[in-house]
Amino acid sequence: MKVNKDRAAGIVFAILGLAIVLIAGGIVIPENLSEPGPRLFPYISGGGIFLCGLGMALTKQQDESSPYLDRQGVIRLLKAAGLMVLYYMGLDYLGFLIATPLFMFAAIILLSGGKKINIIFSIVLSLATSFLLYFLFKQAFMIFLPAGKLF
Amino acid sequence: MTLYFDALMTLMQPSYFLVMFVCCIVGIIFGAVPGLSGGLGVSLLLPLTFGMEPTLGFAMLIGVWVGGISGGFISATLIGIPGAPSSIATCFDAYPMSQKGDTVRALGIGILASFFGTSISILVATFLSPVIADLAMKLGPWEYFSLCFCAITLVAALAKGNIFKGFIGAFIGLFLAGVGVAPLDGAYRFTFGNIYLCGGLDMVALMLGLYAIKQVIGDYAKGQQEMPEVKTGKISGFGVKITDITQNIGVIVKSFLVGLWIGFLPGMGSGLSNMLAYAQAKSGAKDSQEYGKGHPGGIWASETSNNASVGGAIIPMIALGIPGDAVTALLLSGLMIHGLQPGPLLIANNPGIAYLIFAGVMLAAFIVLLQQFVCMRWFPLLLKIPYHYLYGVILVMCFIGAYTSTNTTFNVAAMLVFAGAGILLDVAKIPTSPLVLAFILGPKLEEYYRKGISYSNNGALSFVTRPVSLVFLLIAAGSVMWPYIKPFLFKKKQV
Repeated sequence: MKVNKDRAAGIVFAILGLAIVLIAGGIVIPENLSEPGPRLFPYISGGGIFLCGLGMALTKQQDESSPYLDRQGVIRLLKAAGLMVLYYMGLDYLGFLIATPLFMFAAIILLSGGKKINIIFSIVLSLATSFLLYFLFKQAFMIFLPAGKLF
Repeated sequence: MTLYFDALMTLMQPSYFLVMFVCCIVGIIFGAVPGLSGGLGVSLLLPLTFGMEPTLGFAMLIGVWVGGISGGFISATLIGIPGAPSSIATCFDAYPMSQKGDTVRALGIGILASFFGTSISILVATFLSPVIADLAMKLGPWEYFSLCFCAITLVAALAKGNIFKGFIGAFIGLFLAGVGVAPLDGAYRFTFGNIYLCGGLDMVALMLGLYAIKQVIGDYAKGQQEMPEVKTGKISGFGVKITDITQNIGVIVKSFLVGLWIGFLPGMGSGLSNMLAYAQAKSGAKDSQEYGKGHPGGIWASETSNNASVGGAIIPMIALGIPGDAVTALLLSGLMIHGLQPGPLLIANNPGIAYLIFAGVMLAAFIVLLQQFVCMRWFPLLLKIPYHYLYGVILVMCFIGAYTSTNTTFNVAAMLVFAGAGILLDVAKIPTSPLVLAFILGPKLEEYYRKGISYSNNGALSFVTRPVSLVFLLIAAGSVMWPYIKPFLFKKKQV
């Protein structure tokens, strides 16, 4: 049987809501409270997600529209997500000054989608943007940027 | 009045003026390039303000915001693609007018309409906000709870197609707002022993993830990075005649009022007001068949209303501490980051900041007007900036923003998780505006509810026995039930 996208999403949300309600049951309530306490709103949000998820799953479904992404789109999404995760790790271990020009250059190559780009300009832009932002935040505004665990 | 002029004098200092001037240009670029928006510009620049004086920081953010709203009509006029959702209706007539060779006239009307909308609406906001704030000070936690509840419900009920989806968004926002230490009693919720979660989830990470990163990755994944070629004639001169204004004065006034009202309503903003104003202008016009073929009234309606929403959105932000749209939500978080408490006491306790926002929007409207008329001939160049360079810089700014907001790489990871969640919500067609509004108002909603119960002998009943609170609750209930009642009423009338 083909499962409608809305119905599937509704079931997922109902499960999520139920999980929130169950976890909220473990919140420690201070003694002698004269008001509803810290569990009430998590119960409301979890219960609300559960009921609306059920509502989504049980209401009359509309015809499926075109998919959000085609196969190529999913591959592009995964590539971009992978690059972001690498940059996140780079910031954590290598620090801003090393990770940022590398990431920005890679991002320009990736986002160009195979179109011909000016490599020299891209390298200069990546370096210039990274150093300008570093100077702006660190020197001008005294805001710290990741230094990197390895250095 | 003195406070207003003091704020204006502050903004006229060379350093402030220069920052605003540059940020208005940045805002126009963000508004003009499809896929970007003034709101995105504000979210990217918000972290820069952490190390600044709050007044200078707000001058900067206001410049980007006003520039962004005004700049949206540029691509709508030149290539028929709205730069931002606030200019969708502008495409209907500005693009056909441009295609007929009247590009300068279409751009000129857009520039003037933007100016009228922003400047007059902020004047209204300047005079109305203190009055509403004074009234709001007489309210208790019961009324505030009902007001916040009404705001969230109104936005959730507006979700297209399926009301459950709007409410799922709102409940997810409420859940995310509940992570960390609970108000009043300090109990830990959903922290799972992680110290980074004890302080709650960060607003900046949420906004950057849900709006900026999701936008960039989503556009790339969908392959939506090709810009149509800009075909316009020579752009020079002023373009607008006096008759363009006099013949459309009715449309301008009505659209202004629509924009102001929609901006005032929580969670709605220029994205909706331009469509509504266009619809009312077209339906009320004698030559309605000319709309969609390059009618000036269509451009006036859309651009006046979307800019009027700026002033409209500022009223609840300053007077009540409730955001009128996503950008005012960011400005509110900016206020909180700088240690200011949004709400009715803001004008009383920090009049300098409140009036700086009013004066800043007015000054930004004038700066944008000047910049757009002088730089009109270069508008087509804005649409030729390659996306891969622009998005590369934006991504780096997002990562910096998330990091500097809490000085932890955990926040960067949270931003990426929010971006991923945002894409999943897009797939399920769950709107993000109820989520963001509930996330912002969630802690207040809980605090007011629990205080309301504590302060009263009637328990939860006190929320319906107090008249103002009851009115807000009835509006909230009405907004949920209206889609179901409307067809029934309509059917009855027909019989």
